[in-house]
Amino acid sequence: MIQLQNLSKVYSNDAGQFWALKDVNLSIHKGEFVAVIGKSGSGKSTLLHLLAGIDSPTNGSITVGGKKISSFPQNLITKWRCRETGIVFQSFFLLQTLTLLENVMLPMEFSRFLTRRKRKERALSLLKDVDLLHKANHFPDSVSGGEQQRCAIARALANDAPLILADEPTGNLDSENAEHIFSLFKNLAAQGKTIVMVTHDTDFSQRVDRSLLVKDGQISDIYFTNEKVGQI
Amino acid sequence: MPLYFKKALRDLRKDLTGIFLLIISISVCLATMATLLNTNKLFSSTVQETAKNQQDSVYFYTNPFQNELPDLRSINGIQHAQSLFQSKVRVEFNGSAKNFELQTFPSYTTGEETNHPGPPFKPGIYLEKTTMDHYHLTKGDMISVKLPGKKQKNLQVAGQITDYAFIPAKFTGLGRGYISPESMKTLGISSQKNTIKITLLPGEYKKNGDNILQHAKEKLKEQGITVYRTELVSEALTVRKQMTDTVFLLLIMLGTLAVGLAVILVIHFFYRLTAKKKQEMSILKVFGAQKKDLIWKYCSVTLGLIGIVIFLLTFLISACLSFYFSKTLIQDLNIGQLYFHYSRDVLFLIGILSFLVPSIAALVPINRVLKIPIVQGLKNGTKPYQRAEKRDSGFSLFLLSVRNSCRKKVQLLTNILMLSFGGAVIISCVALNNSLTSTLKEMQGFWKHDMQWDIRTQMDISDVSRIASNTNGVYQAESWTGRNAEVVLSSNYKSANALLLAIPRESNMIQPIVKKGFWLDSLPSNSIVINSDFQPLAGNVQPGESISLKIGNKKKTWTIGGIIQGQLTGPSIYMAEDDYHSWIDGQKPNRVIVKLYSNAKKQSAQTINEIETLFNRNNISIEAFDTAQNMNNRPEQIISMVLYCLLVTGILFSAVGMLNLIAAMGINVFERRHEIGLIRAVGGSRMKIYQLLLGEGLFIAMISWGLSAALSYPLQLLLNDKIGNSLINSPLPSSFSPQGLSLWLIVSLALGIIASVIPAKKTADLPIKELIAGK
Repeated sequence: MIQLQNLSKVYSNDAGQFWALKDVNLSIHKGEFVAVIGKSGSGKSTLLHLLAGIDSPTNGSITVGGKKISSFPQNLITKWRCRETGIVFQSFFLLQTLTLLENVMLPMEFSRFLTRRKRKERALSLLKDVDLLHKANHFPDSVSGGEQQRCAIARALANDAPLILADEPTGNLDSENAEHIFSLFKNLAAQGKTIVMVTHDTDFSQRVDRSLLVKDGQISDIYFTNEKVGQI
Repeated sequence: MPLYFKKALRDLRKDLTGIFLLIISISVCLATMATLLNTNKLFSSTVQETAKNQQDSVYFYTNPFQNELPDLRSINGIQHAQSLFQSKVRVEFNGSAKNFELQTFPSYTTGEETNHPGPPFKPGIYLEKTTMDHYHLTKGDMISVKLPGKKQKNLQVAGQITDYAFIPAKFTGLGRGYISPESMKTLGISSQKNTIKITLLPGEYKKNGDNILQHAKEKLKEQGITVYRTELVSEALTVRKQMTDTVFLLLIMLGTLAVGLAVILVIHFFYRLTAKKKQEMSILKVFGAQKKDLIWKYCSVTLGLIGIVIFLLTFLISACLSFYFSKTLIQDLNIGQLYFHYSRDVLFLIGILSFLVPSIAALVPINRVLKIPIVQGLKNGTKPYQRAEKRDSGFSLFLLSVRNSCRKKVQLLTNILMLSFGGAVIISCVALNNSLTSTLKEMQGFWKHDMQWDIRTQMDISDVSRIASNTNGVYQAESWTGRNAEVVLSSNYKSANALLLAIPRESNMIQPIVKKGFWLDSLPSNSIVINSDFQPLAGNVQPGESISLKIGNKKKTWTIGGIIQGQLTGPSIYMAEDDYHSWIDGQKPNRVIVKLYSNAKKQSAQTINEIETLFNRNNISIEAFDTAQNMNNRPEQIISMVLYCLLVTGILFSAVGMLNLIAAMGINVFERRHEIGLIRAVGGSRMKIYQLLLGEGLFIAMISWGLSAALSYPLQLLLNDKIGNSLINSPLPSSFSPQGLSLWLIVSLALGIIASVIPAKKTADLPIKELIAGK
């Protein structure tokens, strides 16, 4: 599903160059639930941003579903991201002037997925799946953090994308809500979605198919469900 | 309702204050422009309508005659011809005497007298409308009318006549009355006539007017009637139109500046508003929004809604203001009847601009925000401070204020520009006021006498002067001859009118400002001096050139010896009395000029009485009386009207600038509440926050003041040139205005303080925790 080859990302500022990722090689299979762990500034989020096409690599290539997205022009990558990925952020990033229902309908409008009426039906169904149907017409400000994140997950599923990318989705939530969100991801993985989740939570990282430890811009360890199998 | 439409509406509601300020800013600027354009259109259409109704009518001022007119209608192109009587009279009411022009009604009705009662006329006198308004007279009032050499008679005001060919009394000091042939008898006037009104067939004046009128003059001459002056009825209208056209042109130029200002303001506001939406736009991009989606769907709806509100507001404001201004202007200048309408062209223009200005202005910041990488946008990050290192020069809070202001260069520039524009107009207006005041003072120094009488007499100059000089309190008296002269232009048939004043060569009753050449006392015989209003009449003539003047049948060529500054009295020629009398034989003086001793000025009423008694005793008929003070006050009426218009425009610009600086500072502080929270967290007091923000406000205010001062100079030159040429046919002297600069400095500083203190207070009162969280 995902192939990363010699992937590097360099940031430059007055202090000099900073290697956020350095020569990363990685494969992720279809339907896999992968957790990316590591300390702050290790390059986890950069990796996720590159996978989502919201940042571009300095060197190397990213191939997703057989398409080399790292060489896509900007408009094509936007279309690809819209149809092929669903993204969940730590800060939810719901649009404050749209209701939860409208937030979920938004990606479908951009991708022109389904008819207008069908979009609403699908958005309501997704909100029902995340147990938010009763708050469909609420604005984000009037619901809890956990509910906002559930809505963000429903939004990530709106276009029925095969790849779900989540950047510390439980980072801003209490343990009960975090557990609820994680179980939603588990369900999605069970339905065949490929999930890449950046997390600090060691407990969650042990309950996924595979965990990647990112350190100083490199993937230093790979774990398969509680068992260390090797080092890169 | 589509999602993007709902979102646009909710976003507008969320940013209501910012959007409100944005809409008000653009609407005020566009409305200023639209008001000027529509008022100009209304004014022009009223002038056109009045000119159309006036037809091609011409007055011939002739020698007095009693015989019937020859059949002028036999000349091809003439529709009507009627002989009239016209005279200057003195009219007394409410205890004071005023100068009026009395005219008999023509027996036929033409379009120009819209309220012409038509025969049979009521007994009494009809007064021109602006005359009645100016002197607060009403129908039924009794007034005393005294014709030169006749007994004073009481007449009742029988009605009101609207005559748009008449320049209002407040500008000329001359009212107008109309009487029927019956009332003429009451006043003791014989069947004498001295004026002929000729109405040409429609379109004939343009086609062949000069020839037709020349034929008429020749036919009249055969009957012993000499035409001394020809006046096209529409001339009086053209004079008023030309002056207002220049003022309009100038104001429209300022209005265009206002639209430029609006664009800067809107770019500024959109930049602030879209900068706040950086994160939201990045989220939309993450979820698949293409650039065209963001611009066409989400932004176009917002811009469309803003455009509709701007259009409606601009239309409403400008419709009300243009109605008020055109009504006032048309009434004040007695131009015609206002038929209010909103020009389709102006409506179309504001329709386009209401949408175009915000759209163009939004494109720049939206494009910039869209170019921000998604990752940076999601973090809602700002660009780092560009300088890597700074020489150690100690730390002061003001330094931080300056760095903060300079960090956002576009915002700083737009803040400064919007204030500078308004400031420059205000400073220029104050400087223009100074220039006009000094020009007015110079003008007021022109007439050195205290009072003057227009008279009719058979006595010689020296005798008339002696009579006036022998009166108690009179320091000096002179007798002049003032009359109309025709300036012969390219062909013998083409001519223009000018006031000719024949005065003693060494007279010290006039102190002219000589612009070119010399005054009469330094010129040889057969030389004349003209004023700057006369110059354009004869093709920008210069000293040393010759022109031909004609009075009645007498024509002579004169050398221009000098040009003096105009006095808002129209084209004038000054000639030495010896030259005049060698040209026109037997002409008696018709104006007495008197200067009083300074201690006698308080008892001037007594001196006036004594002089008039002496005049009566010596059979000198009085046509009119005027004081130099009144003559000097009249230009002030015109000048104050111009200044009023300019000041209103300047204040409008500044108000928009001020409003926006306050709003911009407010948004600035709102955006930096995290930084303010940090300063407070590390021990900064509330006072330090005030100091920091005050420093920023004052820094912007001071820079904008400097720029205003620099911008005001070219603007002032432009205003001096346009207004000067419009009023006195020469640019006004440029004057430095410390008052304007000081005034704007005080306003700028006050503004900087107000713009900083209000948001500073709001922010400093918030808990540190909330500030750090950026709530």
